[in-house]
Amino acid sequence: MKITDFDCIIVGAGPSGLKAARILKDCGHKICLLEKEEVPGGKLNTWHELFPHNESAPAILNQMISDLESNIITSIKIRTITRVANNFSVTDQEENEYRAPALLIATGFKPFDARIKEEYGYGIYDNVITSVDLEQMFRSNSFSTITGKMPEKVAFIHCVGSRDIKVGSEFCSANCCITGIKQAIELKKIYPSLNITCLYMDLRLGGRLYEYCYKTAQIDYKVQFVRGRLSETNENPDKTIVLRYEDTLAGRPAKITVDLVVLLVGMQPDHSILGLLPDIDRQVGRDGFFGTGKIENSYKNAEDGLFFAGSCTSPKSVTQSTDEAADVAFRINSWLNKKLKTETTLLNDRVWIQHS
Amino acid sequence: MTEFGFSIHEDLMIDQDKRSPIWEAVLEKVPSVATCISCGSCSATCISSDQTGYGFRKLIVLLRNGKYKQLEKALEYCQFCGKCSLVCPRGINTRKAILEMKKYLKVHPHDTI
Repeated sequence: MKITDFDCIIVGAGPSGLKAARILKDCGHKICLLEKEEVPGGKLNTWHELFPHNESAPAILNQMISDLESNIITSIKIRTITRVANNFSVTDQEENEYRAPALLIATGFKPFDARIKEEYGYGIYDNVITSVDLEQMFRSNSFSTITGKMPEKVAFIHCVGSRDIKVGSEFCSANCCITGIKQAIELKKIYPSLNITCLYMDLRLGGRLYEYCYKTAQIDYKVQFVRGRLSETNENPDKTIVLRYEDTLAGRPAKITVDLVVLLVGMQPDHSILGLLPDIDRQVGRDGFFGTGKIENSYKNAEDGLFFAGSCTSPKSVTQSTDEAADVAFRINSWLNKKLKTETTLLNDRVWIQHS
Repeated sequence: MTEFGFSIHEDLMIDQDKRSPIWEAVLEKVPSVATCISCGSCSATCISSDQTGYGFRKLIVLLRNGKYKQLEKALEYCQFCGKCSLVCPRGINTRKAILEMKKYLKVHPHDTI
């Protein structure tokens, strides 16, 4: 058991935690980056390539970690978070105590548990997998059906666990459409003879170059896009899957038999941080994500020293997460500078802080 | 009237300038119908859509566009099993909406509107 003092404690060493840590460190603050997993990186450890440029996720992660040049405290289970005087006090499973005036929550998201959407057959039929499982297959180079056969027909199902009142998440996860298109292209690159159909309600491709990916999938990779939401799946004796949906543009009920179904699961807020500090619990919005989502002025912070960044505040891509983390990091910097009454000197456009 | 020896095809244009009184009536009774995103889950799961080609999504399209004659015919196929309400991602009370359409058309047959 030991007590250490910092300027800012960051919970979660995913893309946003790493980015915020680097900026705060560059600004001269003493940061403490806590991660519950054994390795830093959050969900970047799960993905293979990132949309829209198909950059390697492990390479980006390594870059972020080496940029930080600082110690990340991993395998931490936070026991308590309390406010002691003007500080947050965080204790872990080994009774170590971390203290800082600022606390940044960057706990990210968790993928939607597709088992809840029972009629889609995840966890029931072997050849129904999720987009997260497919990323694992890409990483381990083990793409196949459960019987080991190479699939000929694959269907991607959009909006699984998004925009669905029946599973209690009415928001759009914003990143599944482009993930599906990215994965379809990746598959076609490796297996050009594969037949891929995407079942969508709306394609929400709002990010930069996303529409270009969509066109590439249509023109270069001949991915078929069918407008209709999957209604139910059934398994044939040979383990192929029959999908029933309405082709809403034809206005007819339709079915398709495929070897493998990929469910593009949505992003759910990760609530494992809740129940520790009432100030955090109060910041949960009606969609389950943290914070208000409003444009904050640069000196404002939600709850006296408490900040949120990354995909814990809304579904975000890696780029959007790190952008928000950068913004919040500068806000924390301004707030700390006021709070710590430190002497700041502008030197060649960089801010150097000397603690008194 | 002069007989030209041919007839003009039925006008297929949807006239959005015309009001749709049944749509307004149903909307008042079942406000959730306004949230339909035309995903087609209802039609795909409908027990009579295979044979009839109609599902709840299509009823809403007909209703909004004032195609009441077709709507009246389509409504006859509904068996009120409620599967459409089970799958609807927007949680629309589809059975209530269909019942309201039927009730309205019973009081005001389509050719009187």
